[in-house]
Amino acid sequence: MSLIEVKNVSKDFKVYQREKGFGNTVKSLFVRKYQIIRAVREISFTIEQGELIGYIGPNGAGKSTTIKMLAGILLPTAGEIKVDGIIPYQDRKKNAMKIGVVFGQRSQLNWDLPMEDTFELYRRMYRVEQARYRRNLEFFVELLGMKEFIRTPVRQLSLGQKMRAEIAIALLHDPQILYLDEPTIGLDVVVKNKIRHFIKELNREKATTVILTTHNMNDIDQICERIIMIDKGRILHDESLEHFKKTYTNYYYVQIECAADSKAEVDPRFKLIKKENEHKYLYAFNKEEISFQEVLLYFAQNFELLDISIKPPEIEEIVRRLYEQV
Amino acid sequence: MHLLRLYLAFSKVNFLTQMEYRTQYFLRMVTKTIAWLTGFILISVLLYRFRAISGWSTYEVLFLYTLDVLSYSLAATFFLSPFQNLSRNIRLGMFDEVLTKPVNPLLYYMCTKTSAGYVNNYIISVVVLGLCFKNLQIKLTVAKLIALVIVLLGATLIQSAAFMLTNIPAFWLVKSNSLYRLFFSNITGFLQYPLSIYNRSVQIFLTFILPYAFVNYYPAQYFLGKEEYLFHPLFQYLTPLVGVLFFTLAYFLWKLGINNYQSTGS
Repeated sequence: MSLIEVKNVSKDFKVYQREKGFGNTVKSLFVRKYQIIRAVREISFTIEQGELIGYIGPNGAGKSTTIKMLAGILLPTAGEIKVDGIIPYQDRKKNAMKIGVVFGQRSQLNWDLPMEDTFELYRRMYRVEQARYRRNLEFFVELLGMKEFIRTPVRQLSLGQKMRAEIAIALLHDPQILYLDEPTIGLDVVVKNKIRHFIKELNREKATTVILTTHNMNDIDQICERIIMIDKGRILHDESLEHFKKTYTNYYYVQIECAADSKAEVDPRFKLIKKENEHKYLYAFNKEEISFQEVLLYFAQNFELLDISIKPPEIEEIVRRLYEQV
Repeated sequence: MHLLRLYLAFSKVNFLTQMEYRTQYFLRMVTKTIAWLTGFILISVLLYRFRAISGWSTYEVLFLYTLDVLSYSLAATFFLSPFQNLSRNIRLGMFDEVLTKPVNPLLYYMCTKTSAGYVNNYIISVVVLGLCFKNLQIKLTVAKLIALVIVLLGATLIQSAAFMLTNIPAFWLVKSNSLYRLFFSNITGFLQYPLSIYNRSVQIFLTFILPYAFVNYYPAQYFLGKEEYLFHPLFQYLTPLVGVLFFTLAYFLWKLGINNYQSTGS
């Protein structure tokens, strides 16, 4: 049995339609038209203990809805969800002991008190013994660098400090699964890296299963091992990050900088992506069609080169292209 | 035991939170005290002028009023702030958090929002209650005291259920404050005077539809030995039962509401 089993799950929302104009507003007091929006359509997947999953997709694809169903917040309209043998929305209390939840846009911390006070409260709520609590706290404070602000009232913390505290509090009870909904949104690079490093470390130390939704492809690239991509409520891809990259990474980039304004016609196998100025160009090519050697040779012969570099595509690129296809 | 300790831990945090804004806390206390005292004084003045309302003397009416205030304050301590803000919490998706905790959602939701601001109400009510007993020459035996506690528990359950029931529609309607306002700023006004002075339809409404008369009027019959039975003499003992039933109904609807919770987009 897998840790998380999702079978043919759908979720509908009723959305009331509002029409323009005062007359229609009055009318809507009595008769309201609504539309059923299917946010998630018959998705299925399984997740094993210890996996690091990137759950990606454009805005409104159904990511948060899926996470909320897994966490027991929302009831699926159809289908079956099992998390460690439990149906989350039927047995919320038991499910809560197994999961940690961080919603990037929302806070679990008491705004007016230092986070240590909230921690203590959570320790009691999740019945964590003192010894384990001390150990975990030490681990988090150390790895997330929270020492200097643990006694500061939360309302005085910066966004990055708050987010670290949110992650720590979600993990005090050693949950098997951690749901992270856009944890790095709005954070600076240093904090982002700290959080990424921490998640990796957590997974190694405690084999915590992590399901991460994000728009930041660096998060995916650095944390995840497997990608599930969803759009318009359907799963489009579900594969290892490596395979995902391999499949969609035939296209490499070559950036050149040449001395003189080049008039030469460029081989049609190179697609012009960007012309920064008269001297700097970025091309894409398919590495199945042209080998790296040929590329270097071609540009060396036809241009007066100052600089040349060949880059594999960033995952962000790949995903953007996939988004555009769908 | 675990729950009790957890509750105490939450109370401590809530209290600390409210103490972060000490001045605001004490100002609120003062305004509330004045507001309630005004209520008591108004009743006294009114009855001083008219001697009695349909056979109810000043202290008897004050007794009615105090039962209402005390059970309201007990209920409000736990239910006012969570349920007054339910629709906002639902609209902003802040209710998500409640459903991912290893504690009963209602209990957790109450715990996080318990108010420490009703201490003054308790004190005033208990003092006025004492005055009533003294002036009405009712001997407070152990049996009477136990009965009083049970009645207060039942009345508190009724008031709590009312806080819940008037706000639970928010799970379906997202924004719904009107019911709550109507209820607590208009309908409860009826409770200040004995039910017997009202029209029959009001009596039926407050007995069978919204059983608010069980908060003070019916139990007062028992304590004051009033024999003006509107429906059945047995009603004076029913407050705890009505409380449990009304609260069970509210809890059932709350559970339905939770399962209909739609959260927000992100």
